[in-house]
Amino acid sequence: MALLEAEGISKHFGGIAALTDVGLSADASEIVGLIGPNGAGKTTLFNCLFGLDRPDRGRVVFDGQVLDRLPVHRRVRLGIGRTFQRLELFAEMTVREHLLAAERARGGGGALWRDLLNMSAPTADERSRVAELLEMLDITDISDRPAESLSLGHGRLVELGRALATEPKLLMLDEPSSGLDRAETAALGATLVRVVAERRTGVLLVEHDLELVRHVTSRLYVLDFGHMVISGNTENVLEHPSFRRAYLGRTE
Amino acid sequence: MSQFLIYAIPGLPYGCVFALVGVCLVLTYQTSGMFNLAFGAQAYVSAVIFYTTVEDHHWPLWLAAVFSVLVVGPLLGIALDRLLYRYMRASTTTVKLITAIGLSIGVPSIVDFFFGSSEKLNPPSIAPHAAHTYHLGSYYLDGNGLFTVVVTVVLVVGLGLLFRFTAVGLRMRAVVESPRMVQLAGISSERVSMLAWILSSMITALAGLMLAPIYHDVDVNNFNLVLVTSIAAAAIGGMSNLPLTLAGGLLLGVGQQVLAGYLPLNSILAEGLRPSFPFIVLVAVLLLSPAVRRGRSAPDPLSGCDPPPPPLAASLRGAGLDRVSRVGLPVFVVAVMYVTLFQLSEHYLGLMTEVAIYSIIFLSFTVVTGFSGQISLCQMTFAGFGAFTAGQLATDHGWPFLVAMVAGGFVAAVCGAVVALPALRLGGLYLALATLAFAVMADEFLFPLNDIGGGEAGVDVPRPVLGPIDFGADRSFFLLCFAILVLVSFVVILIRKGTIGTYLAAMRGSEVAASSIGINLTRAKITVFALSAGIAGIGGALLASQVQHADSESFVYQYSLVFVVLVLTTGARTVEGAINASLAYVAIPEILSHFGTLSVLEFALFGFGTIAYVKHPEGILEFQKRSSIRKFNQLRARMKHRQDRPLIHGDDSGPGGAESGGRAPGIAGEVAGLSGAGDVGD
Amino acid sequence: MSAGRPDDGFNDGAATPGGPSPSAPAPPPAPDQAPLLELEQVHAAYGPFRALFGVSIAVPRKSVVALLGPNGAGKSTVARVVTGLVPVSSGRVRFDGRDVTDVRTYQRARLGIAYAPEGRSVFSTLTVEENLALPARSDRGRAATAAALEKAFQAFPQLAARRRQRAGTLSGGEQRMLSLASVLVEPPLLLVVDELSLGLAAVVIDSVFQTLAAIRDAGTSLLIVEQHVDRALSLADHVVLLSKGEVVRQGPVDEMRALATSLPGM
Repeated sequence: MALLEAEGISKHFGGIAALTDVGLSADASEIVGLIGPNGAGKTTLFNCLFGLDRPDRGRVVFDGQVLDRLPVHRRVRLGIGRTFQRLELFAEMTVREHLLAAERARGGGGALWRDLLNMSAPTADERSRVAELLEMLDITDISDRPAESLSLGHGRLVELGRALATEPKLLMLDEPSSGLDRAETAALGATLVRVVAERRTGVLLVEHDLELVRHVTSRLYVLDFGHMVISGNTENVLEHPSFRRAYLGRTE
Repeated sequence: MSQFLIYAIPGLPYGCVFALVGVCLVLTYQTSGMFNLAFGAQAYVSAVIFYTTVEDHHWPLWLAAVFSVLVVGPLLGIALDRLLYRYMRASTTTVKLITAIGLSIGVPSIVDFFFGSSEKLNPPSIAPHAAHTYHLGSYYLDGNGLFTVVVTVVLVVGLGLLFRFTAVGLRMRAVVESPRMVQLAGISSERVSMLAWILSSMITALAGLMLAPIYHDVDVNNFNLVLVTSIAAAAIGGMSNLPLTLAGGLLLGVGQQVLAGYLPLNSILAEGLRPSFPFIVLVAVLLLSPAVRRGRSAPDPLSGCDPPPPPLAASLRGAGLDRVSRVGLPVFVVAVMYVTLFQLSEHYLGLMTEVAIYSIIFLSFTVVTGFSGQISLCQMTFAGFGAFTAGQLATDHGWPFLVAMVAGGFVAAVCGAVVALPALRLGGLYLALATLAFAVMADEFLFPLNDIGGGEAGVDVPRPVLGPIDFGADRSFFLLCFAILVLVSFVVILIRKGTIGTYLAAMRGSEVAASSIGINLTRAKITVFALSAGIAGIGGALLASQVQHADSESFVYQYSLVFVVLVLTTGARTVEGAINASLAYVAIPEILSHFGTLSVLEFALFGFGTIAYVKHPEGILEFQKRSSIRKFNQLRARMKHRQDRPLIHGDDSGPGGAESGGRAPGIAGEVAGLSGAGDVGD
Repeated sequence: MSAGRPDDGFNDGAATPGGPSPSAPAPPPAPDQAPLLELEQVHAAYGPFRALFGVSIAVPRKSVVALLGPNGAGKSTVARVVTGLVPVSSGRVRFDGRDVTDVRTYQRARLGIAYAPEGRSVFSTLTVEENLALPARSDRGRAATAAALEKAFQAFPQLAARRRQRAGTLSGGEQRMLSLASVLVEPPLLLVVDELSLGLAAVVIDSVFQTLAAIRDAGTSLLIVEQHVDRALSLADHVVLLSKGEVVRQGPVDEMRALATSLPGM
């Protein structure tokens, strides 16, 4: 059984079907791509898996547990981490504080009495873990900058770091390369490959940059109009005519 | 059935007014995003002008009515829209709500200043044959009531036709969805919004004129009570559906009368149900209505054009300034204590004690609004629960006061958690409205109960005694209050620095991202809400202990409204903000009292502070502090510049965004300002 | 986002300088009259986030200009600056011989700038008919409105069948058709099209581009922001390449074709 198994997911908004009977699986230590034209339902699928939207039908099993009606924070504690297409940073907090908050939240910490006894300062352990992450993502030099002063590229890395600080078994990335230039995208790809190798994290990647997708993913799902039109080995999918029709809109 | 109708028909005029006001709320909320809690104030202006022109200047009724409904009402709407609302489209829910509350406090105070604050009893009705009783078989309705019903039906039908079949109506519906797309169609969305305001202001004025005779008095509090019930009607309509709002209003008006009719006279249920109705209905709607849960169904597709909300500047203080304040603060505090204890007269000592106590109550706003961004409009109600609990336990059960006070805080905290539970998931507007309805229910029903507020007589609350120390004397009581203030301040600061503070800061930044790192939002919110209610409860117990008495009048909802405006305009994020707000609250009436009639303007000052708030949502104090810190830093930089070596300007941390950060504050500042926000919000 | 020098890959002399220096805009490719639309050294920002750094673009009369570039290059911001939805922080915008930098969005619309925004671009709570009637009613009587509606329904028969249906219940393709139909009701001087093909199936995109060609043939100039480079190039006379909020290169479509198709992220 794979780490994440979703089957028969359907979701309607008003009269419009956003997802129709969609299934997907992802395992540890692999990077799985999810691509498709804008409006195909990728983000909706992400939200259904993550618990931000409740699917009308279908079920999601993660790590042997049926997720069904589990709220977001419980899923995160089970080991699902995620980044967002539109940056969702904590205004007023520095980069380091983002990661420290995630470190703390992972343990489910937050007893009132500890706060009142002034015992809530970050521990040495938390600090060193965060320092390690900052180093790995190469953002140590900006670690004390407030979120609102960051470029889009750095913002994406901070979101990645924040998600990694929750020590996810599965990392869901929503268009992590958008707003990054070529070099930054390449570096991001390398980082992802390293994370997967070092931590055995599974990655589910929604991405537009086909170069990155070709480079890092082993399997690919293609979503179009809420239907999973094709899936399989990355190379095969990218060469498949129905993929080219759906995604590129080219008919050569 | 006939019995039912006998109860129901007199409820119709009430229901119509609730429906009409509910329709106004929906209309302006949809077309401009403002939830108009200033309805009562607007209605009051027209009603007072009508009353004065008729009673004092002997205008004919029709002229006075035309003047106050068709001239004064729209003018007020235009003024509010042009001066305030149109710059607030991009503002947060909090800013919008607080501004409306500020107006609801400030405007009546201005009216009273010009027209006198004496009671305006038995206002004339604009209905023809108002006193005549119309019979319909065995049922009857007086002229004013019948007129109200007819006018409501005409207006609602008219509005429906306007929306459905006219170009203006079409534009109004379009503006609801996206003002920007309306602009792209070559239509000034601002003019459409203004039309909506004019329209709703006229209806509001008319409602004011029809309401006053029903209550036999022109009193802004009556209008506000109607407002609270109408909020429930608007909630039944999901804040968007006019026919449902109409039905909701009728249901509430008729329901109240019918229930009052069937329930045994003077029983607790009969007394309590009517004022509890809005709260119960609001909670029920929140729990049951999927439309409300989903929120607005069609978001503006062009919202990407909005700049992100202006970031609060990160801490700008340098180490030097920190050192100054670390030494300076204790020195200042000791000086204040010395002067208070040994130099001031009894009167001023009492005022200083009040400052300390109100500071504690105001710190509860710091926790709930400043840290977690939720708006509570019933903090003074929580204070009341604290006070009554402490008083009853100390007086009737002989508990030591300090223990009773802590118990009071605990009871208030439990109340806070219970009230917040249904609304927390929705947050923002709905939480604010539910807390307001709860406050009204407490004022009208819970606090007058013998078992809670001690009925007519109220509750006696002793001064504390701690072992051999008696705090009965004013000086020692001041010391005690001050000590508790220091303690509560530390609690507030520790929370802000601690894990919960971090979680709340994350939540303010992005709720979805906060939950994505595993933070349980509901738990964090309830914790903070209960804590804040607890702090308010302790403050309330001390407040009652100072005057050694508390009754149902001591903690009415109007206080909560004034306080929330005051604390937020001063600065809800810091302990200093709360203390400064408290100083203002105690000092300003004291100063004004030396100027005779000017003292009416006290609430105008508090209320219109919100105009500054629209510009500086971080609070005036915070804004001043920042600009002075910035000046201080500039000065220091310039001096350093002269002394050492040329300073390299700009950020040199290389490619990847240094520049965007470097120049950000200037641009952000402009956008935060009124003109900037207005341009973008077009 | 770096405000630094243009990306090395494209920097071959035609790039505009990064600073706000008042250098001349890139010369519009030789029509015998002033361009319909001119952006001169435009800087723009969303609050603290700066998006455009001295962009100079010209759209000649009766021509189609394609705006290409990677994600986050500022293409949509250019479209919003042209329509007035996002204010410029410095620089000028000229349209049809007058300076419209400080002219409000709705007044620009009346001057003849239409905009088909990215994503959902219809009023989803209004019916198809109401969507079409909204702009048309601005200055006309009922008869003229009805005539305009009929014109639109003739051009798009599939919309006629759904005239009383709420626009939100239409499919993505039909919604795009609807937003183009309301443009056709009153042909503007300039139509700004932002990623109109997003999320559409290939067949639908074909018909959308046919409609765009028809709009061009009716005398409207087009400024097209597009993900599908091939399709954009098939319609365009001129191409502007944007990267990181700066123009890296612009010129006639024949000169630009090779460069445009080699862009990353395309």
